[in-house]
Amino acid sequence: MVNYFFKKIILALLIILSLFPFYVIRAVDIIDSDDVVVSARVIDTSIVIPPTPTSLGGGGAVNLFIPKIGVALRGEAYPNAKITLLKGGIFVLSVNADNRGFFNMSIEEKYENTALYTIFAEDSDGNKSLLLNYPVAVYSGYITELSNIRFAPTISLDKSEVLEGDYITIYGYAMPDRSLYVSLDGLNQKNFLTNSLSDGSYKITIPMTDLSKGSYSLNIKYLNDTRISKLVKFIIGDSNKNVENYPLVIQGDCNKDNLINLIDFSVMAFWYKKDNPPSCVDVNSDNVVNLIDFSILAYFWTN
Amino acid sequence: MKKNIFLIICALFFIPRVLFASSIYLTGEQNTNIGESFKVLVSIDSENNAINSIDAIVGFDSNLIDYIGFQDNETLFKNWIQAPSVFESNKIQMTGIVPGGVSGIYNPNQKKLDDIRVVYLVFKSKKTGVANFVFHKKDVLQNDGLGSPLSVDSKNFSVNIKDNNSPTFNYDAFEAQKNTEDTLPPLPFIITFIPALKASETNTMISFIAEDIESGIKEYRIKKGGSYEVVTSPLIVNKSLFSKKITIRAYDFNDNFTESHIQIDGIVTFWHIIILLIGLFSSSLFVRKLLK
Repeated sequence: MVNYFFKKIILALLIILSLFPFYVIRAVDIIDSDDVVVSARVIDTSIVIPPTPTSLGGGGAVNLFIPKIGVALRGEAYPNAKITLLKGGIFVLSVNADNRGFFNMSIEEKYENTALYTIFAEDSDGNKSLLLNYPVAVYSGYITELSNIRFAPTISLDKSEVLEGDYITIYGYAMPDRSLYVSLDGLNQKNFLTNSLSDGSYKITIPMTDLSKGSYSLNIKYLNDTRISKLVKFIIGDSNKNVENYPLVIQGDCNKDNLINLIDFSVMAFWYKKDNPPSCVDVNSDNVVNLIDFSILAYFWTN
Repeated sequence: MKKNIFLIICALFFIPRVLFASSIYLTGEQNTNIGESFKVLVSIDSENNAINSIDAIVGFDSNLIDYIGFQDNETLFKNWIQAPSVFESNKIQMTGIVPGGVSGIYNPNQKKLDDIRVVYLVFKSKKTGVANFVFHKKDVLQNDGLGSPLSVDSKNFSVNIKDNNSPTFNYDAFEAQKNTEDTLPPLPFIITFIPALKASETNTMISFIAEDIESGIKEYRIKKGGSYEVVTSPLIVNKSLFSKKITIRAYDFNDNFTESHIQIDGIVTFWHIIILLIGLFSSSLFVRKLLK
């Protein structure tokens, strides 16, 4: 009898435990991957129409409610960064972040719909962030707000090729006085920590000792954050090549205008699934232009 | 008995993980009548993972339904490498990207992100029966700069086609009233000129993407003489001796269209002609002097 109940209890416990992942995943569901908070609020859209004088002596003021629709975006970029908003890929407006890096922008909409809003930030040196896409459902009578938006830091290198055993300098902009986490990936992996200054700038020089010759990529993010910067690639080789003379290669940028846009997409689309593609469209160098090349192009898209 | 309990426990451990994996699926009206057109929405639940590209093949019962076209005006994928089109008579292939990637739709009325809408596929029913839709391919890549694949499950879909018992059903009248609400032409669009590039070994091309806020873009046509031929973007344009104007029309599903033009410089420019005329004039003066 005891054995029977023991078995039942074990079975019940196992069933409960088996359901546990369900609740864990549900808890993750209600938090967005990048902690962006979306909310909608009704704004005061009443307008008061003053009384019109009539022969009968006029009437009282009319309080008219006009439903408004809009979208507001706010978050963190870099001190004095220029933030640009696109809707469906078309420019809408630009605002400047304040000297602490916070930005706030809003636009009015005419209709209730779902639209793709895209923002990107440009730091004081003119370096652009990756695009952040927010497809947003907007409702009549509400301002849909997206807050806690956070751009990953911008990243630049002083060399496109570095002599084995020498140093490379990484620099860019982030929010002021933050801890930053640099990841180096390639034949070997290494991580470094640094801090941004009060003006948001950061600079870290790292040694290329104990690293084999070959291709590497670097990215930077805020400590304990998930959103990473652009990946920048460099080579550890036999000489030092400064980026002024040997610019970093942007993958898929065949016309070398430092932009990834519809032109590069069209050129790559021309070579889709064709034999012997040129190296500039075959971004992952596997001798074929396929979905992976387009995915990398979409990631580095600048508009 | 012990074996059964063990199997049940294993299944219970497995089910929750399957239920909440990323997935690609189809939705739409599950009942329709013969002769009616209906839309099927392709969506992705990426479980908050940012994705930026899709390559999918959807099979359908071509003996019961015809594929009419696609609509992407209310969806997130607009940059098509291969716009949804039929091959092997009963499969639709679609390959496209979202620059910058998306995780889902931010909806203030929901506690989680809404699923990613890829595209609406439009069909027309022709026989009674159950029309099944099956995914033959479902490649979804993450927006991570590396093109890493996202593991997705697929959920198939079916539509029940009934006879509407209307012997006097008029297909032409149905077609006429089908899209009567869409009277707006596609939005103005830009034709982008892409010069021949040595690095990419490509000829001179033009590229165009239009948007229609109601029924969606059906096709593009280029003006050739007095007629218009269907074309796709990007389009190779050979340089001619003289400058030429290219006209592209974007048509929506109700045949409203918007026209856009681009002037392509020829090999011989205006200044070439002026210099040639000056040369001819001066040489004729020189010859005349010599003859005198």
